[in-house]
Amino acid sequence: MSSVQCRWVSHMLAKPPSEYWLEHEKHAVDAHLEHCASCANLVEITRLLEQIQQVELPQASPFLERKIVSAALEGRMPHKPKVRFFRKEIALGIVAVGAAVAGIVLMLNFLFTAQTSQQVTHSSPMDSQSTARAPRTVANGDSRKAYNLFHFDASPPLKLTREDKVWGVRDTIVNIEVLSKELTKLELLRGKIVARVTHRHSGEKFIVAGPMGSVEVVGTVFSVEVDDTGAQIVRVLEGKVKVTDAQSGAIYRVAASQQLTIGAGDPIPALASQLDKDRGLMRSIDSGSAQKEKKISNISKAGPAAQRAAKISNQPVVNSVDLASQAIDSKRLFEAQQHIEQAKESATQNVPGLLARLARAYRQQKNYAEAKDTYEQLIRDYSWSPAAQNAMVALGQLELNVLDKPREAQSHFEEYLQIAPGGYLSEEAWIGKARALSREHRNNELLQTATQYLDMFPTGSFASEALLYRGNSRLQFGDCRLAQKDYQTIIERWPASPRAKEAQKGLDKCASNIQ
Amino acid sequence: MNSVHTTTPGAKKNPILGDVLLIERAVSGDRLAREQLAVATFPRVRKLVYLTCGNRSELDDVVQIAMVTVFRDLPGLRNFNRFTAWLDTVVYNVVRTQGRKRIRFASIFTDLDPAPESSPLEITPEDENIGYQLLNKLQHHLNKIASRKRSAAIMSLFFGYVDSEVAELMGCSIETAKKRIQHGRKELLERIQKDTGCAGLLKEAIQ
Repeated sequence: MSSVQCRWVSHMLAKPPSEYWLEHEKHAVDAHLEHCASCANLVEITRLLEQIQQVELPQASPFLERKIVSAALEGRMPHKPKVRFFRKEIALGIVAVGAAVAGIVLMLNFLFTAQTSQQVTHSSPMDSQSTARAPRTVANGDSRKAYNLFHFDASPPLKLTREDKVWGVRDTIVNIEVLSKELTKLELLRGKIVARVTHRHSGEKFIVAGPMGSVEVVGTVFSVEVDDTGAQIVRVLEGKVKVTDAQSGAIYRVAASQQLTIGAGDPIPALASQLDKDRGLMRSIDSGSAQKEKKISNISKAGPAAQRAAKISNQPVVNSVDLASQAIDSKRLFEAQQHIEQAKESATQNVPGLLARLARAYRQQKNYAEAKDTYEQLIRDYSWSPAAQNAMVALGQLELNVLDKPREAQSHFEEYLQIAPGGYLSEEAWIGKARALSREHRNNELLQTATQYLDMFPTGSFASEALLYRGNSRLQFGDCRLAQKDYQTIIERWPASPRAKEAQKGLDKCASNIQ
Repeated sequence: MNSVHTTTPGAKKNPILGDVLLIERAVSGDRLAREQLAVATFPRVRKLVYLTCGNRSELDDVVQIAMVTVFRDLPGLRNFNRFTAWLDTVVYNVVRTQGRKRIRFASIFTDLDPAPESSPLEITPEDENIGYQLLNKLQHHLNKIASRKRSAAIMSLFFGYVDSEVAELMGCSIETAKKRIQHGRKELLERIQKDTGCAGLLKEAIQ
């Protein structure tokens, strides 16, 4: 469809509702909308935007409301701290110099850390079990932004820069605070990690911080554990570590086969059983690596769909809503379905909207069977949501117009009218029901339905159609007088419409019946 | 379709704003009436400031300035039937004045960039409300539209004013108001159409 026509249609749609449209303008827009999905979408948006008045801001807090209302009644303006104004030229100069310096520093930082950060991003999403993003609030109530948190759940290790590897027991949460050439700093929030750290030169550090203190290593294998009571235990298998007590500032050197409980005195020899346990965990690092490598080769040998599916299963659940949305927009509907399945566990409130969009996308692709299944799933599993209610009407229209199942369509329209009698799509539901009845030639019910529609929506969008149904039904029952009234109403109100021609035919039939 | 307003827009939603007797008492200085009117007026002022102002960090201050200005100028109100239209005019002028003040010092101190593309870093319970998310997105798009067209579109869409009322509010001719409304709506519709997230939120919030 030409963009000139689309521009004209969007220009027409932008007119305020009070603006009167000429009949030929209406016809031209209707004709264009039949072929242009983009403009049809614009019509839907326009229609929804007309209802925007009903959307309100959430209420302000009572405190804020009281504060502002009392200030208004007392004539108090908001307090603004005095700002010193510099001369404009000096200020601009300072800002320019500062911006230049900041830009250089950022560029250097970016170039320097680009390589180091790649390894983490490359290695992190290896297994959804081990690298799913942690919740924002951890068990002890501490809040962290969820960008660098890792929640360990299974064997594959977290591979950091310089071949350092960190493995965590189940439910361990680690925050990667710093990751650079000179400094790698992890914060152990909960659980236990075992780390294999490559040798560091002087000036290069690997630190694991906990609530009680920090552990600094130079090429060693050690474990750090934070138990439920908050006690932090450091145990060294190879090499040595420097432990700093955060509260007292005391520094301890813990050698191989020693352990230290921070805040509980000097290092003591570690129990052999504990060391064996840590070694056993360490061995699983290597086996985990092998599994990881195996995984990579398996994925790469699989076809593109399986690779995508494997990638999808590794995606953190938090993003699945966005991923589903993007997949729907890109028409990758199978992928979208899988993301929606993931989103069902964590973001239930978003799923109805996604399912509705997915069903519409299937319809656009003329995959009607899938569209029907999706609508049914939405209605069955999320009946509480507005999207499911609207899906009843959409499914009814699909069954009526495409799948030729008027009986099922009628039941869905009636279901909607039962649940949401004054709902946004009640006009569509009523006229859909009338169309289904008309298809099945059930004139008695059709007469009742059309009459009900016209009583509720005398100037509704489908009034002419309802009048025609009612007129035809009355004609069938032999009531020509009332049928003529309906036909004449159509001709008077919509003289240039196709329904007027049908109404004229109806009038002619009435006339011949009378004769 | 909207018909020309015979009562003040907003009166149906909040009957206090259409209560002529209460307004008259408030204008004459009745303390209780002023309090009731202030409480009833606050949500409308807040919504209008939020949609037209666009700077969330100053939102509360601008709302307070607008409310203070309204009740300072209240004794000058003559036509009690047109309270909400008068209210919206005062608030609109306050927002416009505040916007000019920000622009004057923008080169040195104030960041005038519109709200960022991405959602806020911290999700508050307020943000989880779909209506609020939708208004947030719409406000972001509205900020990209020129100020007069934006104001006209907001008056038309969010407050139901017809073109003659918008002309009166903005102090221009009816033809000018019509053009501003149309261009503002058109630009907003096009932006929403391109932003699938916003379109999806719109469908979810309204349906």
